[in-house]
Amino acid sequence: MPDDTQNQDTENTHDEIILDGSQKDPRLFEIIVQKYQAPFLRTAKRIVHQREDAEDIVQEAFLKIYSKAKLFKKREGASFKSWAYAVLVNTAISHIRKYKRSHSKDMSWDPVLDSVLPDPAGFGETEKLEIQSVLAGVLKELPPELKTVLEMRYFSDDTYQTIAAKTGLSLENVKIRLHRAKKMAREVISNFI
Amino acid sequence: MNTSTQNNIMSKLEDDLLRKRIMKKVYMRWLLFKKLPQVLGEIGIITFLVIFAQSRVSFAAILKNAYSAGISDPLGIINFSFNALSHTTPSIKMFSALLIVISVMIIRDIRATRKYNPLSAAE
Repeated sequence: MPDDTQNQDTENTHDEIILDGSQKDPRLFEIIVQKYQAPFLRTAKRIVHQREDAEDIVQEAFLKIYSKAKLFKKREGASFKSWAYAVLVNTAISHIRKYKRSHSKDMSWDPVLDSVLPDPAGFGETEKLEIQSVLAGVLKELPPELKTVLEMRYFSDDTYQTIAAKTGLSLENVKIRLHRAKKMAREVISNFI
Repeated sequence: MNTSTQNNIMSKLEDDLLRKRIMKKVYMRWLLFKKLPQVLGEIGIITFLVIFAQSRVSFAAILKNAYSAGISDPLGIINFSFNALSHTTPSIKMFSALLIVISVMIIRDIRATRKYNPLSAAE
């Protein structure tokens, strides 16, 4: 586990150096695009459900990452990966809002919360890791009681029943608390860039 | 070739196209928001220096003499420049050096943009 953390730190530092260098030599940015394009596309597709829209979101997100690199440098303690995912998710949320406005009659569902942070049950390991990447940057900004339930559900893969047993909350309260935690996580993501 | 392999190839091609589209936009952004202001700034500095020095240096006469020196012998421009600079005041020498440095920077910046031509990035 400490090795994993160390590897992630090294990976993030590596990405940060590339992002920094790409401001002078834009060709370097292709390394970041190559590395994150596939996971970004999967995450965006999970949120908007269509490849064309997902491609537009990914393209816009990469452009924001490149042009807002200075904002990332100012954000103390943020890892490149969590910041990049926050940019992607924010771009997807804006896209959905725009779409919702122009197709308001067809969209009766709340697309944002569940598509950004879907319930991990039934997802493969890769998808779970991507959802964790979205959450990683925001957890520390949540109150402890909300942080705990999110960690249990998304990082420890605990069921609602297990969370209820571990925390002493009722099943209903666990669901309410998880919903509040996801809502707050989304708000934190929105303010991330 | 089975359907799965065909799908993999298609997906890879689509990914490559998307990557090129992204990089094309990145190059364009870099060119418009980073390199262009830099080159324009350097050109602005040269223009300012030339306007500022116009009262002390006759640029028209220098260009005319350089043309006369270079028309018969292209290498004559080097001799002309060397002689002109060695017989001028220290402030004009410094001004000329500054002008040369900024001109080299402009040439370097313009050459650098050719490497990242956004129009060729998607090819």
